[in-house]
Amino acid sequence: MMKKILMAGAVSMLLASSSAMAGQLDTYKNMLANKQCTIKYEYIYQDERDKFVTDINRYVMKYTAKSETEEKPNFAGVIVLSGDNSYTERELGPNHYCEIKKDGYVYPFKRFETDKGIKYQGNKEGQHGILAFGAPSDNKVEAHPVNDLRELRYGNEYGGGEIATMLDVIYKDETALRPGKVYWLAASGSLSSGLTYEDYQWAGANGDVDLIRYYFNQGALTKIASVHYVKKSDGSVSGKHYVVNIKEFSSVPDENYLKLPEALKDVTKYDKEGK
Amino acid sequence: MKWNNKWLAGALSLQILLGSSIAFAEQPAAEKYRSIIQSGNFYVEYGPKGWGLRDYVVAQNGVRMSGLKLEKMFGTTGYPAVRYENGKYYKFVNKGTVKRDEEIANKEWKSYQNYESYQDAVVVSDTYNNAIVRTGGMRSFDVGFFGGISGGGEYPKKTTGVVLEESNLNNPYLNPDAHWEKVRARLSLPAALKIFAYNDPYMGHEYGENEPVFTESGQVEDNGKQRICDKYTSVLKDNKGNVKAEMLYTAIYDEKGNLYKINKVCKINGKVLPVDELEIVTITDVLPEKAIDMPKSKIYAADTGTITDLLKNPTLVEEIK
Repeated sequence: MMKKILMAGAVSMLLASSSAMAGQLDTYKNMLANKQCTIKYEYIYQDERDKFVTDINRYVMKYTAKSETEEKPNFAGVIVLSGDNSYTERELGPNHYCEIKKDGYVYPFKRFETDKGIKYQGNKEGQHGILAFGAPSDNKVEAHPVNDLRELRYGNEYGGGEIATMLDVIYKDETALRPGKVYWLAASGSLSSGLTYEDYQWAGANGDVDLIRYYFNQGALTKIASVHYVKKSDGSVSGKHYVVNIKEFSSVPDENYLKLPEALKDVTKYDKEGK
Repeated sequence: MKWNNKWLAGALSLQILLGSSIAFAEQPAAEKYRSIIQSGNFYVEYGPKGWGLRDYVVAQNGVRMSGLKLEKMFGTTGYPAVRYENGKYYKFVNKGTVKRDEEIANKEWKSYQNYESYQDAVVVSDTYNNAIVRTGGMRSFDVGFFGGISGGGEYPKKTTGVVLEESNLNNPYLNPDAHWEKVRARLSLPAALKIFAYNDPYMGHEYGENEPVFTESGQVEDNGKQRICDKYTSVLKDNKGNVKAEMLYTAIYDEKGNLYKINKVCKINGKVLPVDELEIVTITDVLPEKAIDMPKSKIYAADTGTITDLLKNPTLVEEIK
């Protein structure tokens, strides 16, 4: 009898402790669920030998600088969510590829640093035209309506690729039709450095495994690391490894990002109903 | 008297029902197309009419092939691209396939130049099903700088092929640049033909998709002419069974009763997004002469990372003369 009570006590204590450890992502889960947050991150791509080359790149590469496409570089990024409006940014070298989603329209533009300061470039067609001898229409943005079909198929892939997966584990957008991977909490604990962590895992039918570890410093998310192992048909395993440093993850959306920069002119032909 | 009234009303409604079913039935050609595709012996050609590239898919006795038709001022030439026969997949390289790659590259290059948003990729073309469908329904005459000048005159004069056993499709040592994982999709019929060929073994399906169901016939204006059309609806459902969007297909028939165009739009959140516009040239069970034949070519073994592959000296498997 005593043994049983002890056992039950031990089990309940274990459960309690693990849930106390595991709750650390909940704050961030709420932020993403409420769509109110500012995230600033730095993406570190570990596998240098994995070439960042698509078919199309390969074809076009004959004519453009090869080094640009050779390796997937590390980059910094920003994600701001404020309800249905959002801002995403990816920094690749001197170029910052930005996209504001506002009131059902998407405004893509590029920000880049030159000797003369920060410049902007809109998406308006004709800007790069070889025969365009006139003044370049660099500073114009033509927004296009949000692609609802894409969002229905794939969900909001904020940050794209690996970043989107890491955010998906924190809060899964159930509205997307693509089933996506379902991760579960595999382990949690603390490290000798004083950081605590939560591990999330996914396992595929043919032996593929994904592991994502979220690092916390006194409850604040500071780093995310992930490994992806793919088991090939001959039994060999290949893997990928990413690290994302979280510089900021706050519940206050920085509204400044959601405004179109003054240097850019909005030339969108809106519907008669207005924006 | 009461009974009489009821009977009358019943008879009347039955008549209306019958009448409406005759007036709004599917076009007779639709069933014909369905049975042609189901029979496994067919030739389907699609893409814009006039000079330029079109796609075709041909099948007979378990052999299936897809390729390109290049219409020029003097005659039309067929260029096979992919073939399946007896558990083997073949891929061919020739003028047609190179031209198609150029078309796609020019399009991508243009969107890269104009810094199109990542969101643009899906609405412009229904890329989900098939890489070929990208440009299958729409042709841009705007040949980019690179495609038009540097790309000219570099086409292969003869067709060459590579062959891979079906069982080898998951070989981890396959050359990743060859994209053998796409080979099945390249044998599929265009996605808009789901109204007739939803269960075709090569047809891809998107998440939550349901088979298109005939809803009504009607009239539609196309190029300034009134045409008869059939309308189909395919719903996209989430895993709880809620309808999230509707894919609306409009199959448009010409005055001879032949299908010549399928429009596909997506109705979502009260908005209508264009998805695909496919021009059908022909759907027939009479195969054109030599359409299913193996092209005259040298066929090499696929690159599986063997020593001969590393030495760029692939094994010649067969030569078709």
